[in-house]
Amino acid sequence: MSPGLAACARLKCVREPSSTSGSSAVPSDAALVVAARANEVWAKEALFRRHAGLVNGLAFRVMGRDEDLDDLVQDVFTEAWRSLGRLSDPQAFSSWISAIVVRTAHKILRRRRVMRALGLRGADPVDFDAVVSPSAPPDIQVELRSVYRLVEKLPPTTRVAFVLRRIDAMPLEDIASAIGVSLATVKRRIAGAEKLLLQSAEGQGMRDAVGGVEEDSAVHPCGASLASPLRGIGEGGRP
Amino acid sequence: MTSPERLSQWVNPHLSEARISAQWSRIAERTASPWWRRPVALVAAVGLVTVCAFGVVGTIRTHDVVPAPVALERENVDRDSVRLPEGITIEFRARSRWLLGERSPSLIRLSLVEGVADFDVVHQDGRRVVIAAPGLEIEVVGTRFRVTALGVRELPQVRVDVQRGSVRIRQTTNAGLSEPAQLVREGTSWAAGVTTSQANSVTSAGVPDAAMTPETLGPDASPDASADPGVRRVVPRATAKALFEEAEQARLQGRAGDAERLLERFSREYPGDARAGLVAFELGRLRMDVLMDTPRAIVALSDALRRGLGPEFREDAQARLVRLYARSGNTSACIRERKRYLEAFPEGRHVSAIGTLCRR
Repeated sequence: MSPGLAACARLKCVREPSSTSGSSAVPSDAALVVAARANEVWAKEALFRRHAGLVNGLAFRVMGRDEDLDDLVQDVFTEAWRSLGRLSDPQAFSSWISAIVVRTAHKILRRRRVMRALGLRGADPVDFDAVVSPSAPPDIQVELRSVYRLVEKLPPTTRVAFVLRRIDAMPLEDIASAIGVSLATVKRRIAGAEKLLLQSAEGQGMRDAVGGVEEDSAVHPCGASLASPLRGIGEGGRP
Repeated sequence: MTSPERLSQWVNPHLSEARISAQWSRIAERTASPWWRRPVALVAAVGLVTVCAFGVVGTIRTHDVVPAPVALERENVDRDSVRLPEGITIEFRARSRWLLGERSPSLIRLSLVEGVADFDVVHQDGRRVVIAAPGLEIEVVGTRFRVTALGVRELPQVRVDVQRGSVRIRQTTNAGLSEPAQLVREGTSWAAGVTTSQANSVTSAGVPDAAMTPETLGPDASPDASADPGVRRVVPRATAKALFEEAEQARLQGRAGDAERLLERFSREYPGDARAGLVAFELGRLRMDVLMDTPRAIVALSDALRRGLGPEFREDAQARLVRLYARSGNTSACIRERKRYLEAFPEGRHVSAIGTLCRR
C-alpha cells in the first residue's frame, strides 16, 4: 500500500439525482445539461430534440408566422449553448429556454417595428389559416382569429405578453421576467389588450392603434381597432 | 373566454422529422468548434453502470511519450499503451477514447471517455493524478487499477478495479463532485457507488475478465457478462423499424457506440429499405460529429448520397462531405465535392461556409 494513505474513511455514496433510476433509463434534463456544458454534442442534440416541440410551438405562437421559425429556433439554441453555464438549476432547462424564446422573439418584433417605421420593411401579417389549426372547433377558431387579428396591431411588448398569457397561459411573473419589464407593466398591457379584444368582439369598431403607441406607454382602451370588427360574437365566443 | 390550455393546442407549427433534423443540423453547424480545438471534456455521467471498452487505435505506440502540455485526444483501435515520463503507464484496450487534459508538476489529469484502461501510477509527493471517467473522478495516490467505461456515454457504466494501492472516487452530480470521496482499496472493485471484493474481475496479474472485453459485451454478450448486474447488453432486434428506432434511442441517450452498431446492422440487413439512405446519413453524421471517425464518416455519407436522400438531407450530406475531405487533407476530393455542392445548391445555406475549405 502506498505511503500517505489514510485509514479507511467513512464511505458515502452520493447518487446522481435523476430520472434514470427508472426502467426507461432516459437521462434527465439536468444530466443532459451537465453533459452539454462539457460540450458533448450528443447531449446538446438530445436537449434540442426533447425541447424542439416546445421551442417551435412557443416561437410560432408569439411570431404568428411559420416563415420566421427556423431562424428563430436556431438563434434560441445557439444562445442557449452559449449561456448554458449561467443556468443555475439544470433541471429547469425547459422554462429557461422558454424565456430565451420569448426574449429572442420580442427582440425580433421590436427590430422589425423599427424597420417598418423607417420604411425599410413591409408589414408581417399573420396568416390566420396557417396559424390556427383547421381542425380546431369553430368557437376556438373564431377566438384565435380574433386574438391574432388584434395581436397584429399591438406593439411588440404588449403583443408578446398578451399571446403568452392568453394562449400559452404563462404566469405573469415569468412573462415579465422574460420580456424584461415590470410585473405591473405586464398586467397593465395585458388588461388593455383584453379590453380591446372584448370591445372588438362586441363590434364597437375602435380606432387604429398602430401609429403613435409608444413602446413603454400604456395601451389605451380606445386606441385600437380591428381591420374587420367581429360580429355576432358574444362573450361565450360562439357565433 | 376559452381557457388558455385549450387554445395553445390549436396553434402549433408543422414539425416533421426532416424539419427538426434540418434545424438541428444548422444549430450544430453554427455552434460546432473544430475537433482539434475542442477542450478537454469530462463526460458527465447520468447513471452508474458498468461500461465496456472498445479498441485502441494504433496511433499511439508502446512507450510513446505523449506530447504535453496540450489537450489532445486519441482514439485507439488496437490494444496499446502509453507511458508518460511522469511515471504513469496506461494500457488501453481496443478502441478506447481518452483525452489528456492537464499536465503540470502538481497535477496530471486524464479523461477516459470510453474504453478500458489499466493505469499504473507511481506515487510522487505533491502531485495529484486524476482520472475522469463518465460520472466520476478517480484520484490516484500511487497504485495500479483499471477503469472500464462501457458504450460511449451510455448512462455510464463505469467500474474501477483496484489492483494495488487505493484510489479515491468522487461521483459527478449536478452540484459538482460528491464529497467526501469514496476510498477504494486494493483488491476491491467499485461500481455504481458500491465496493465489492474482486471475485471474478481482474486477476492479480492484471488479466482482464473475459466478460469485460468488447468482444463479449454487446449483442453477443457471454452469459457471464449478462449475469453481471453492472453489465448492460444490447439485445438485437429483428425488424428494420425496431432497429431504426433503437438506433435513434441509443443516439439520443448518448450511446453512440450502440447507435453506430445498430445503424450498421440496419444497412447490412435492410439495404433496400426506404430508410436506408437516411440511416446511412445518420451513421455518417454520428461518425463525423460524435465518434470523430473521419474516414468511415466519408464512407457512410457517400453511401447515403448514392442511395438517395430527401432534399433537406442531401444538401447537408454533400456539405458534410466537403468538410470531411477538408479535415482529412484530401484536397482534390474536397474540391470535387465542393464543386458538386455548388452545382447542386448554388444558393444553399452552406455556400459561404464551404467556400473557405479545400485550400491547397
